[in-house]
Amino acid sequence: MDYLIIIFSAVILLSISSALLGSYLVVEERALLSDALSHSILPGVILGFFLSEDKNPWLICGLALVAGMLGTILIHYWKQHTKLKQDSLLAVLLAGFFAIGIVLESIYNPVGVRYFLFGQLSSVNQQDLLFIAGHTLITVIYITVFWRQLHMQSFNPQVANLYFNGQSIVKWGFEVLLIIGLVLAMQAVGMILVAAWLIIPALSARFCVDRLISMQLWSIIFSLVLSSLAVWLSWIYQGLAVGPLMILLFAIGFVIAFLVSPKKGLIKGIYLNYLDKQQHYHEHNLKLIYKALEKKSATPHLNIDLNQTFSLLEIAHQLPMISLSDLDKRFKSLFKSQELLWLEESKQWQLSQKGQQTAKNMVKKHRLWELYLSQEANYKADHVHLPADKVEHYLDDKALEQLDKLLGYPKLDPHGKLIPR
Amino acid sequence: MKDIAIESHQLTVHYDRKVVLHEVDVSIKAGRLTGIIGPNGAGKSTFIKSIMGVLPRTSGWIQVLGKPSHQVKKQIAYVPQRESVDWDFPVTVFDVVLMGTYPKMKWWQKVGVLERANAQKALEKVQLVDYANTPISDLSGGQQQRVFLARALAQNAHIYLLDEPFAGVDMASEQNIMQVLKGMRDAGKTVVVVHHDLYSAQHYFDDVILLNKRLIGAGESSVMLQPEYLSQAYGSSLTLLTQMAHEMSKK
Repeated sequence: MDYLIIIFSAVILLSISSALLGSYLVVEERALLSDALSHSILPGVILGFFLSEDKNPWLICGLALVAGMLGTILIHYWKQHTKLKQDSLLAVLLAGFFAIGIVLESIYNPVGVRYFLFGQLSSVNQQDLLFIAGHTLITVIYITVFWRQLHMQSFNPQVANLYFNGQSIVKWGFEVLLIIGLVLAMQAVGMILVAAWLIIPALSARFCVDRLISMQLWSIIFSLVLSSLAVWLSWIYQGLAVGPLMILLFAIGFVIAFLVSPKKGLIKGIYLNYLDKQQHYHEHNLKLIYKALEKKSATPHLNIDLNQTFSLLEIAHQLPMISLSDLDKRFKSLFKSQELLWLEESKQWQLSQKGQQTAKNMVKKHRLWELYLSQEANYKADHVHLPADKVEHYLDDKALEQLDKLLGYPKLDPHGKLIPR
Repeated sequence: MKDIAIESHQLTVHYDRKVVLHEVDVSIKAGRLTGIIGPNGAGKSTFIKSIMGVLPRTSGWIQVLGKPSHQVKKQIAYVPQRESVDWDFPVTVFDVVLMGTYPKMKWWQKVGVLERANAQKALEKVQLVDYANTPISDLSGGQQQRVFLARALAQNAHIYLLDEPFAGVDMASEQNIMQVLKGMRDAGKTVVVVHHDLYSAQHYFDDVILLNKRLIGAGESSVMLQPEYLSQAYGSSLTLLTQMAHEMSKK
């Protein structure tokens, strides 16, 4: 078979199984455990190499399985029977098994072990590919058949063990598939990076979706695209180490997912924050104009004519703490959003219907909240302005109506000013 | 159905070498709303966990509906403490409720129309239909607890065991949960609730079991929540508290 086809098929198959298995590790908070597991496999792999002459995958996987299971059981046992925390146990186990592996390697010095330590995708042969294909197929079938058991096991293990018969068999079956998956993926990316190869696609998918199944599908796509890209790049630029390149691309993909995720992404957060600020700025400026018109009004306690026209200077006169140029800027931004109108013939400004509505609403929210704080929460009258300045932007119409009702539809705020209606 | 839903005899449970429950003899009546009350560390959660058979017993036995609990576990819906799961898990409200239907399914079965209908009904009862497709990480504490309750409802069991369903829950959710529990009782189900608030206990439960490592007493809540029993359960240092609870019950 063509060499390149073998490599590509191996990468595609490994991407599928690793992303499926890795998703469970991420949601069960076992990412670090998989790293320890991959280290604990090493002695088994080295013994397997030593005992078989032709890199027999059955023997290598079998012995790796024994070593991996031993590691898993040790962690379980120590966690239950000592007061040590999992992270310290993992540190001991990871280093201990790795040391055993390296000592064994120095004794036997088997050929080809380096592939497992640092990864060598080009060492994958037809026999390996068949093995990888078998593992991926079984993994897909296993997860499909035992979907409910595995889902429940990840979310609520106590209850899963309670209600599913033979749940522990399903659980250990998963561990076996995981260990074999780690051994196989090790050949591509190396023992040190293999945990990242399982974890990063699932983590990146977690940024973007909120269900385990979608997380699994997205992490498969993530893994497929980026690892194929790495193979292609290393084909073009001969000599690039493909395993580390894959992990590097994964890491870049992770950062991109973090930045652009439609739900929790940083960029989305910044954008929403910007929109919020923009809206608050407009609301605040409309409130300022309302207050200026109120000061100008002859009958501030009866009603305020918001329909009147005014010049920039008239408003500036009422708002001595704001400079003329600043006020001009604020007017222009309100003009852009069509909350303020410019009347060309009279060279005067006027609030649009939308602007009037918002201005009234903001003042109402502000003053009702001030009244609420002073009446219901015993705030002093000179302490209510600042909190109200913040809250007014976040009160929705329903909360406003409730507040109004609670206070008995009052006429005046604590400073004796009219609450607009 | 028999009168006794759950019966324990000389039930003793150890954690490591500490006795958590000592020789508890108790019977819980079918079709009643029963509260398990006692101070922190009294073994309340341990008691319902041993009903479920989650914890190994040191000695004694427990029977549910006249049989060992593992034979009838499909008929027992267990609601663990809310903190026992990771609420950042990527799963929607509906998916969690659907998990309640799993115990009665065969291992090879896939979720079908019947299971979905059961889950939908359960969601309606806890008034979370609008949240069906919401990820559970977006819920408040009270809503999370209602999701757990809905999961148990979807199981259509005879017996419901709830571990601290009112811990960290807002008033509205507490009322909703209580209303659902009373509705279940009225429909003939047996409901057992681990609870720690003495004052609300007398309004909530028909029967009360007082535990403090051993059985202090069991019976109708109006009888059991009297100072003479409570001071035994909570120790004499808490007489003020029991006195207050008693005063409040008179009002």
